Amino acid sequence: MSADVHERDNEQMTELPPPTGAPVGGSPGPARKRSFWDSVPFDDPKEAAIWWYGGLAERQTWINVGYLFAGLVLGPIWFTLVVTMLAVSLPLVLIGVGIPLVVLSFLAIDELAALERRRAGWVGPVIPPRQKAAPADGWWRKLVTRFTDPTRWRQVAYLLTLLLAGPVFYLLGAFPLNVVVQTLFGDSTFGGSIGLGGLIVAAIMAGAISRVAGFAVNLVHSYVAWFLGPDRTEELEARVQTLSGQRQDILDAVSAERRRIERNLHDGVQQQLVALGIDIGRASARVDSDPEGARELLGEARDKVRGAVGELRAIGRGLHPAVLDDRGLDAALSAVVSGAPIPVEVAVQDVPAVSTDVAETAYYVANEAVANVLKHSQARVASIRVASVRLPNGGEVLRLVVHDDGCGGATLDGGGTGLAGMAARVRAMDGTFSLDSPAGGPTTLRVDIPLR
Amino acid sequence: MSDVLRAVIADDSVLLRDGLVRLLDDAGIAVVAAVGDGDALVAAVEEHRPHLAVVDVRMPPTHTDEGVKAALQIRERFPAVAVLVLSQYVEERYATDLLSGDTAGVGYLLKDRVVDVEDFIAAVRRVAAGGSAVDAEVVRQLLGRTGRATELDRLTPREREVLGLMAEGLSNAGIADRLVVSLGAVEKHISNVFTKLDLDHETNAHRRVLAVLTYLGSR
Repeated sequence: MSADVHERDNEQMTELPPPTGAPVGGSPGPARKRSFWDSVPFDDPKEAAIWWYGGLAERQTWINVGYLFAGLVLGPIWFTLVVTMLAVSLPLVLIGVGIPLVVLSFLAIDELAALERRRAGWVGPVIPPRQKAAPADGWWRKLVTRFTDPTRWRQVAYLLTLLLAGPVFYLLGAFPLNVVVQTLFGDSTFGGSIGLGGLIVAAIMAGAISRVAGFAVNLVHSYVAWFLGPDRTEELEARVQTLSGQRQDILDAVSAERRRIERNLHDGVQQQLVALGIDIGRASARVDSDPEGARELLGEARDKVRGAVGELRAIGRGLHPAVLDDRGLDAALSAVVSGAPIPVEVAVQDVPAVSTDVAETAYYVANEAVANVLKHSQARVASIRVASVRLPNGGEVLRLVVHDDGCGGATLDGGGTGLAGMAARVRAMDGTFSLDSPAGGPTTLRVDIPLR
Repeated sequence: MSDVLRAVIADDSVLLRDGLVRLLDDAGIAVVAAVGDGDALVAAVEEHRPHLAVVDVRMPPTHTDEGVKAALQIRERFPAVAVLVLSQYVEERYATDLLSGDTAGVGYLLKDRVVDVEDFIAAVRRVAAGGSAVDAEVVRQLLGRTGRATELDRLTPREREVLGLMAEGLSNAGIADRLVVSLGAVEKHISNVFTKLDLDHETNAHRRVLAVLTYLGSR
């Protein structure tokens, strides 16, 4: 049974979609230009050949070319559609029947724009939609808002201009490809017979296909993003909102932590020390009259000292785990589960050096999760997996997965699990927190924390 | 006193409850019940009618001031039962609630005091006998308030000590023991204190506490 659990876990870890990342063979972006010439392997011909022609073997190159070609084809199609819809519906507004037609047209245009944005996601990061104007009250105002929304007109502008932009980008990006194709299969575009010179040019151009296509595709992506993507200011405003929320979460988490520490100190350590004081007081009262009794009491006093020190050590670990600094996440997590009554596997795949906040957050979440497993889940086995993962949109995260085969039913706000606090902490790190815990189990907690 | 003092203890920490039971036991005080929350306390007092209830301020369910509430309830329903409230830290509000009005048979001490076994038992007996016990820390805070600073300056250091010990609820004999002076000297100091502060001379120990606390508490 335990083998099955872990096998499933393994699959979950490797089931993740392969990274698509930025287009390969794209032109060196500004940051990379500086080291471009450093990366050219001038000394070894075989290396140089691989470097020049390598792009042809990559899937992304051909996706880029396909995208540019699609733009060429779709340009006239969108143009025709949009012009027809607007030409029909707008004049009819004057006699009222056009209004629903206009609304329908704009809906259709929204869909086309969404399609274009998704299409652009094949060659670059996914483009989120631009914010539309907020709908006002009353059907007339709603209509007017819709009609005058600049976002909607940007969409129209994009769809119309693609008629020209599509071919331009295609010609630009697929130029080397066209040269090669023409040379091999068609009449020479450069006049005259093909000849050796033509073949040489074509051979060199073949290597340029991936690079030029990548360059063009970056241009197109920016073009689409400018028309259809979010406004920088809006994006920043949304970011500010998120940050304010996160700040509040942190403040709440901090005061919850304080209360927890106070409670632990008060209920645990302070009580023990007072009881200890009583033992010593009673012992000293009977030192002469009943030395045996006094000795016994001092023995009990010593036990209480040990208990209090252990309590303080546990509280200290809750404040900051020293082992995390000294020996890293793997050792720290192993320490968390050592001495647990059930077997808890700890697997930390080789993770690049992470910042202290990220490591600490992962540690505390794992700590809390394991505590919950031991306290509430009645599980027989559990596991902690940590790995660095590249997301589809190009970002890299530290992924922590805690799994147990217990009774499930855990919720974020359910009493005494501390998971809400952990979720807040993770969100404050711009991470994501997901809990899958159906009644009857098993429970899987997954936390992604972005790595800088 | 010939008959044995009977006491009820209320504290939610098993460790402490146990320690208190044994402590009182050593001193020859019979613990007839030891409970863990306010409701159980009131029920135990009703059933056993002890001389004294020793009560922790913080108890379930809210772990804030159940002890104080229970203590006030006991004072109201069973005025013959003395109440000694133990607190983890000085909370002036609780001290005020308990000590305003009649201070006979009422005490408010920090849990730490329990460690000074002899003084603690003396305070327990004092409260059970109808006197008062106010924690030195509470008194210190009251004495430290700036409101009465100028008047308190009129007192000599010895007189201030005596004032503090009066506020704690000690009897003249108790003060004499603590300061290691004669009873006569104590009586003289007390008389001076009352005169200098313009207070009515109170001879009854617990009424004295009330007078001093009221004096110190008001500004």
